[in-house]
Amino acid sequence: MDKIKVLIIDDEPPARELVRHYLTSFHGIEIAAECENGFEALRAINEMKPDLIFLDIQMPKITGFELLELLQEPPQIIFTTAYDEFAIRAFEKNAVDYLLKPFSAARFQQAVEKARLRITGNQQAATPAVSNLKNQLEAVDGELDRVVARIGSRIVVIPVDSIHYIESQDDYVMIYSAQGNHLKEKTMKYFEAHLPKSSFIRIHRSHIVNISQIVSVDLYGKDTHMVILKCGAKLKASAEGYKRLRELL
Amino acid sequence: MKTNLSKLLPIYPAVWLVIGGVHYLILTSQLHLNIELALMDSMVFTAIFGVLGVGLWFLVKFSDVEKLSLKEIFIRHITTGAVSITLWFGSSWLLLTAITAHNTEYIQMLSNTMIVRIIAGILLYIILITVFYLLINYQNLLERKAREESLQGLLHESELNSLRAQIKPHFLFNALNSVSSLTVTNPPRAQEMVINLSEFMRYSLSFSDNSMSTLRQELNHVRLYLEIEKVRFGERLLVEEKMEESLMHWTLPPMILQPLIENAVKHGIYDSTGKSWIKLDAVQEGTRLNLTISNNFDPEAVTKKGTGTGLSNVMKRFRMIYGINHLVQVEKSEDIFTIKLSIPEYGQNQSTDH
Repeated sequence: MDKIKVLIIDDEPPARELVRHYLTSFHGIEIAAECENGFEALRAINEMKPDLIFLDIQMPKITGFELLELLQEPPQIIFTTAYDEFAIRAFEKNAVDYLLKPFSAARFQQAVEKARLRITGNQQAATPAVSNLKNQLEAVDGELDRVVARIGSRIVVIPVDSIHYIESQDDYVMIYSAQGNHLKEKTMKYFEAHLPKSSFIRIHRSHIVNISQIVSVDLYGKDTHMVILKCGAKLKASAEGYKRLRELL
Repeated sequence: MKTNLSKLLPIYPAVWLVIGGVHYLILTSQLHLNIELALMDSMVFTAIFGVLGVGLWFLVKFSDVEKLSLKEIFIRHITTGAVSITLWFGSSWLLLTAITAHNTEYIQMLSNTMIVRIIAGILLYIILITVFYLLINYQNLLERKAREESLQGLLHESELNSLRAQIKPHFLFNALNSVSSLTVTNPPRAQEMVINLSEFMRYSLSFSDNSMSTLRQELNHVRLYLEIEKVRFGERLLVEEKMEESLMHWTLPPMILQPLIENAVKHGIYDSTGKSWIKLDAVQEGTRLNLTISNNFDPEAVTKKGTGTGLSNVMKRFRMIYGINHLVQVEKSEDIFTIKLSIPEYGQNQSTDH
C-alpha cells in the first residue's frame, strides 16, 4: 500500500518541527513538504497532491480557511491552531480533527489514526465531509474584509473596498475589481450575506454592486433602471433592486 | 463627615448662653427686675429650652424629610412645636414659682409677659428647627460628595486596570507550543524559553495598583517578549535598539512599551512572509523622553479588522495618567509604521487625581 503523503503548513518553525517529530513514530507516512505560508502551501498541494495536511489558521497574507477556499479537491485536513474561537465543535465532526496548541503526542496520534482511517478506508465518505466543512465555514464567516482568488497557482488577495461588482456565472461568481477579474467558486447568496451591508447592494439576481462605484442610475425601460459604474460597466437593476438602491442612497 | 458636625457641638451651649444673656438684659433693663430674679428667670427659661432643643435635634435628624410631604412636615412641626412650647413654658413656670417661693409680684410679671414669652418661644423654635434642617442637609451633601468621589476613584482605577494590556491567550498558547516542540528538539532552549516566559508573565502580572515603572524594566520586559517571538519566528524577526544608558531610570507607566511592540509584531511579522524589523530608540528632549517605535510592514497585506486596541489603550492610559493630550503620535508611510511617545518627567505633569 502507498504511503500517506503529508504536508505541514505553519508559519512557526518550532510548530512545524513538533509535527514532524510526532510523525516520526508513525509507519506508512511520508512528509512531502513543509510550508510556512498559504502561497507555498497552495503550490505544494497542487504539485504534490498530499493525502493529508496539517493546517495552521492564523498565517501571514492568507489564513488557513482562505487557503481551503482555493482548493478544488482539498485533501484531508487536521487543523493545528492556538485559536479556539472558530466554532470548533462544529468542525470537529467534519475536518479530520482540530488540534489546539499545545497538543500532546497522544492527542496527535488520535488525530492521525482518524485521518488514516478516512484515507485508507472509504474514500467516498471522506469527500462530503470536507465540503461540509467548507459550507460550515461559510456559515460561520462574519463580514468579509477581503476575498482570496486564484489564477493558476497565483493567489490574489482582493480587499472588498476594491471590488467593483460581482456577477453570477452559473456555479461561480465573477469578481470585477481593481485587481482584475477573478472567478470564484461561491454563490451570490454567500456574497450577499457576507459583504459589508453598508457598501454592497444586490441590484439584480445576477449582480452585487459596490455602492461607492456607482456613477449614476438612469431610467432604462418601464420597470428597469441602468446602474452605471466608475469602471464603465452598465448593469441592469430589477424593480426590487432599484427599490433597495433607493432606500440605501 | 461626622467630625464636621461634632466640631459644632460646643457652639450649642454657647448659643444658649448668648440667648440667656439677652433674656437677662431684657428683664433687667425693660422690666426692671432685680438681678437675682432676672438671673433665675433667664437661666430656667433658656436651660429648659436648651434641653428641649437637644430632643428636637434628634427628632429632625431621624425623621426622613425626603419621604414626607410638605403638609405632613407642617402638621408634624405644629404639633411638636405646641407640645414643646407648652412643656417649656409650663415647666419653667412651675419651677420658678417654686424657687421664688410664690413671689406674687414676680408671678404677676410672669403672667403679664406670658404672650410675649410664648411668641418668642415659637420664633426660637422655628429658628432652631430651620438651623437643624440646614445642618443635616449640609452633612448629607458632604457625605454624598465623599461617596461620589470615592466611587469616581474606584472607577478611574478599574478603568486603568482594564486598559492595561492583558496577555493575549494566543500569544501564550503559541509560545507554549514552541516550548513543547523545543523539549524534544532542543531541551536547553526549551528551558531558556520557559524561564523567559515566566519572567515575562511575572512582570505582566505584577502591577496591580497605580505604581510606576522604569524604562529599564519596561525594556527588559520587551526584550523577553521579543526573545519569545524570535523563537516562534526565527530569522524573520529583526530587532534594533538605540538608547543611552543614562535614560534607563526614566519613570514611565508599566506595560506601556510591550503592547506597542506587540502591535509592531502583529502588523509586521504576523502579516508578512518575508523579514520584518522593529526599531526602538529613545532620546531626552528637555523634560520629555521621546520614545520612537517603528516597524516595516507589507503594504499589500490586507490586515484584518479589530486591531489597534493595544495602541488606543496606551493612548487612553497616557491621557489618564498624565492629564495631557497628544503624548502619543502615529505616523504611517508607505511601508513603515511609527509610534512616537513623548513621556513627561513623572511628578511634574501627572494627573492630580491620584
